[in-house]
Amino acid sequence: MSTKTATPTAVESQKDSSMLMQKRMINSNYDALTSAPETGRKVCSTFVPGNLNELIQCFGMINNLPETNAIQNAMRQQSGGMIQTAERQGHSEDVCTYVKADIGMMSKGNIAPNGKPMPNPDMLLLSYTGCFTFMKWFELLRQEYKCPTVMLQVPYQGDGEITQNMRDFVVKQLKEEVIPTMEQVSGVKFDIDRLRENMRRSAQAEDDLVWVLESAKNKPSPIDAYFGAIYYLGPMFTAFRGTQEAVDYYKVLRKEIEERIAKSQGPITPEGEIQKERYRLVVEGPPNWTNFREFWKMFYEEGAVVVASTYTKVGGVYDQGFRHDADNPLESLADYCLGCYTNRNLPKRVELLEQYVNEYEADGLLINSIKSCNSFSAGQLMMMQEIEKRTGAPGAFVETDLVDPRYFSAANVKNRLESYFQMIEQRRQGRMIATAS
Amino acid sequence: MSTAEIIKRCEELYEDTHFTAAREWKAADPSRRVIGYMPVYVPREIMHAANMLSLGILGGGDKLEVIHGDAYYQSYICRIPRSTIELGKSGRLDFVDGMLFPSICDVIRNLSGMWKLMFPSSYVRYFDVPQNYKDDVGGNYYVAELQELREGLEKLSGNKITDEALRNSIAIYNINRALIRELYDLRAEMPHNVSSNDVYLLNRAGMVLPVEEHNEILREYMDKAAQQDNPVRDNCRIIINGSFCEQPPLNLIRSVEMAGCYIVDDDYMLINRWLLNEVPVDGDPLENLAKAFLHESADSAAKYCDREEDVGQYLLSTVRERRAEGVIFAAPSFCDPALLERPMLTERMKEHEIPHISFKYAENSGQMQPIREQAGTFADSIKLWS
Amino acid sequence: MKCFIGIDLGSTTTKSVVMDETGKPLGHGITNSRSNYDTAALVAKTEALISARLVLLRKALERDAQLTLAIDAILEGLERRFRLAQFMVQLGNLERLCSEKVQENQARHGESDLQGALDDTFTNLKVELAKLFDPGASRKSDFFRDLAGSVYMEVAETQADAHKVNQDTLINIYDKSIIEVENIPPQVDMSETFLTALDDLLNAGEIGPEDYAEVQRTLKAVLAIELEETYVVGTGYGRARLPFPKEHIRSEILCHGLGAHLMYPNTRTVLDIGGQDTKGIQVDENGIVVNFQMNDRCAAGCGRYLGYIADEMQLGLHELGPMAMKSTKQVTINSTCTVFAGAELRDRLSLGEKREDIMAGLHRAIILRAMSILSRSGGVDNELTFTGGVAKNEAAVKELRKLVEDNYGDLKINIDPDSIFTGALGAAEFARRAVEA
Repeated sequence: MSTKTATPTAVESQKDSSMLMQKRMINSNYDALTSAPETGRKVCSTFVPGNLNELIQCFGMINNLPETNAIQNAMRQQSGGMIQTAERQGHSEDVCTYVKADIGMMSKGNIAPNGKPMPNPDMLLLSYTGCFTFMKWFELLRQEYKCPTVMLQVPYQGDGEITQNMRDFVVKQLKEEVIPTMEQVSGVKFDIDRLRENMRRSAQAEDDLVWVLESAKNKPSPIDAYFGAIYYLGPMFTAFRGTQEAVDYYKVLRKEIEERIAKSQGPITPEGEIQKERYRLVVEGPPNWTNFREFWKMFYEEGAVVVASTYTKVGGVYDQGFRHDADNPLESLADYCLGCYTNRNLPKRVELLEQYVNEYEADGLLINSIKSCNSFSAGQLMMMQEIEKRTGAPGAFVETDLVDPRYFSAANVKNRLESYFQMIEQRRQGRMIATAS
Repeated sequence: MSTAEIIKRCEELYEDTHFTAAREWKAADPSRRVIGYMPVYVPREIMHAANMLSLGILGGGDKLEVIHGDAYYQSYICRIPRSTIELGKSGRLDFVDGMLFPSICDVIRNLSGMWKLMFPSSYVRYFDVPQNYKDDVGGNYYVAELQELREGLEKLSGNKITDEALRNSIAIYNINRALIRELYDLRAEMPHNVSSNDVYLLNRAGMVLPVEEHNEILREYMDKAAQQDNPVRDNCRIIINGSFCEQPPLNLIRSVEMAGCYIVDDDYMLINRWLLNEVPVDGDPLENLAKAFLHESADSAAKYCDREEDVGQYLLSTVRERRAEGVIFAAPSFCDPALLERPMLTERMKEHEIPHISFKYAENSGQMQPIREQAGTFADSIKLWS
Repeated sequence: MKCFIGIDLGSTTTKSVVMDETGKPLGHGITNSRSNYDTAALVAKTEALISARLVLLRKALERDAQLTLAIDAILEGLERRFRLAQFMVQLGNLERLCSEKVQENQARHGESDLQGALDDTFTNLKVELAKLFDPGASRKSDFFRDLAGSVYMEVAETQADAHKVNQDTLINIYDKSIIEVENIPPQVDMSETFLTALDDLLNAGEIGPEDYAEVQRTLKAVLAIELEETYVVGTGYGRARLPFPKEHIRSEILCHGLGAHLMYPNTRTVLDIGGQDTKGIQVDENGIVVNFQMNDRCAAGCGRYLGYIADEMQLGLHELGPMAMKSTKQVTINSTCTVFAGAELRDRLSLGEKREDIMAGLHRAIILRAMSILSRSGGVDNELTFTGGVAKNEAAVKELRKLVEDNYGDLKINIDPDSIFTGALGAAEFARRAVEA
């Protein structure tokens, strides 16, 4: 029954390579941020979806992502207090907890995960991609920091496609709003060749990332494409896309996964390797961060492996073919922003999920519905029905929140997951009996 | 008609979740089309120029029983998309040829995709307005969006929408906007003659009636109301803010007034007064609409404020203009735009020492006692300290 | 004989079903859930085995006994006497524990005549409670704590006055002891108690000597049959806390679906409205669950909501349905939120609405919520089986019939008075299949 017998060597080797590398990179960015007052580097705060890291790097600025800070605080059990602080200041209990965790963090001295004070941003780059809350979030921050704030409006793919008008609009904003502000804040002249170089490296890393994500088509899958993939996506979604470090990281990661496939190994979990893959799932929706490990455990204990997820596409839907294109740098940046998962309309999201269920041969679709995130959550019940109708695979629905510990009910979630896994098992047996007779 | 008769007609229109008036309008001529739209703003002139009725869909109110709509939403999502789905699923919108979903928030945005899945044969458009207010940036984008909408509607109706027709429609809507401005001026001037109940219902009538008819009703009502001589009550003057999408129940609006507050301005149906001034009739009509949107439009939380110092200025200027003594922030539960914006606005109110309170509602809120109590206490406190 | 046992550990009651080798349910047992899950499960199982013995006895008597009295009357008397004996054992336990508490209390406070008051209380209790088991007497509950509790309160009041002791102290002693009594595993020797119960019947003149001999012979034969606990499966919300190995645990969704299928083989949809949650379950022609949905995190509209309304209106839970049935005019109640329902209720009452009309509106509101769960799970297109506590409420059933007809057409709706055992029945069948497979 046990699926969690730890294989120490596997854990060790993982720790030695990609995992440690990833950790080092994330930490190094926090160190760069907190030492900005000494180094004189400028800090640009922006969001994960539609983040323009290649461009930010052209100006020598450091990328600071408030969602990531909230996640780090949640994983350290700090977010609850921060959210309550913000609510005491008059922020509604109904709204996004990323925002409230961020505002609460500010009130608590803005201490970065490395324990050092976070410098105030020199500019706010409001990459308004796929989430309404972003807009008000940075209006709220602007009120505090009083720093240059530039809005990059990314139109929504209402009809499920990127039109030339949308692309032109984003490019025009890049040229006339974003780049001039960055030049002004950083004092560095924009160099399009530098951007091209960064983007070339992005594309290289993106190739390897896609390879890693698609490795889940193997049986057993060598990766968990939701919980595990969060770690794999760290560098790509944050301050490292476009850097040589990211290129190197994804090479190493890919090599590790190749080895796992060769040995028919399952995914690594915090308690070792999954010995027997019993359920293959597609997951829609972001994870819960306050109880990330506990939530994951409910899966790996039962041998449930996530083979594809949409959350891993919020910072770019690379597996559908998009690559940063150094030959058309600004247009390509525009397409990147326009193409992020939550900027796609609901029919397109359904299509993507349908494709995942079929191509990854999943047993079902699990929706982790996040209270904070209407961009993801509004409409998910209809998406589930559509997927059930189109693929015949059963859907399940659990509710949690991003970083609000008050909204994670372990007993509730576990009860549903168990029922769901057992149902899949029973349906499978029913099918076997039906085909045998 | 007397003002009471006019208001009675408006109330009937408001309560009719089958939209009989709009159905009859359509049935009168087979070439007519009806396009539904959700808050906050769509350029109705384009529909009008295509011989279409634009039908404002503001949820289901407090009388509509939601049977299907709840199946699609978690408990932490506001009410308006549920009742809107109910309207659609129950066949109440079966005469509507298309739906426009403006870029107000992620819930309404996603509803546009759900609508596509539910009603694949309907014309469904997500109407994304610019959050960049420069003519050659946001403006160019917006003109092209308007053009796309225009072409989509042309295809739907089979008729060209000429510039001439657009100019004519702009002129008619200019009259409508002027009348609505006049109505609010009258309300601010003599709130005892023009109740907030009446203002609300007159605005609502504009959601479902052809603009020409709406214009007539407004004119007639105001001519008569101005001559009335109702007793002036010792009420304080307040502004309602945050109710621009899901609507408060009419009972709530009445309760606020009964509790001692004249609502001298609000943001219930901003579409009626989104464009603040007359839109020029000469020149390129789409560019004129775009310029009006970019530079002379009302404010709401669904809009990006591109300068920090401008946050809350629109509300402050309304307070001054209407000689309001306080602001009631009344937002629907789970309304992202209103609730995210609220701390910034209350901050501004504090800076300018404008009394304010906040509460939340749902379109089907059933209990008014807490509202009456809060509004009453607020009115008393204003009187006491002013 | 081989027996297969299902145990459903719910939040308020624990149910058990004993099934024979052919899949026929033999006995049902129910008890209130309590802090000790082990004991709750054991009590429910023992009760089911007792009921199984009675069923076997009935069969044997029907097969070959020549009796003057009707079998029903004999079995009723026998069970009544058996229950009395069981009850007296528990009462003895209660007295002993109460006495211990009195001793402790005395040691600390040296209070006057607490022991005397307790002794007299129990002397009276034994007399009063035994009356509940007289022929023709009706009992409000089958649970010891309910029966003992109400009588104890009355008797203690009089005895406290008579002995000039503090009444609260007597009640505190009871409150502490009853919890302990409930957690003592059942100690009744089944065979001996049954035979004594039969003797009591004879002694009380409720049965003649010829019948007595005949029944005793048959009873001894039935008691000699070994009821082998071949396989036990646990389910219900508290299943994780049952002392069973994992393969003996099934989710309540699966058990509920299978149980409903066994009761009504043509059912394809099950609606269960329990105290804490509402479930919509879809099953195939073999009783295999193909889809299910539960209420989201918000438990609005569950059975608990009715409990809250009953408290709010100072009515018994059973009075709500009949009151709503008297309604002549539908009042729309918008809030199924337990927090707001009270406020809305009071608002409506103050507006002059009639209580029965408000009640009817409340029942409709609950069923509307249930309809949305049903719709999420895939709707209803064949026989619907309605289970759970709320299925006993006629006003709720009436609304359900109306709404199902309006939305899904004229479909058969099954409601079994014993639907509370649906989950346990499914669990027993899982136990049977586990051995069969």
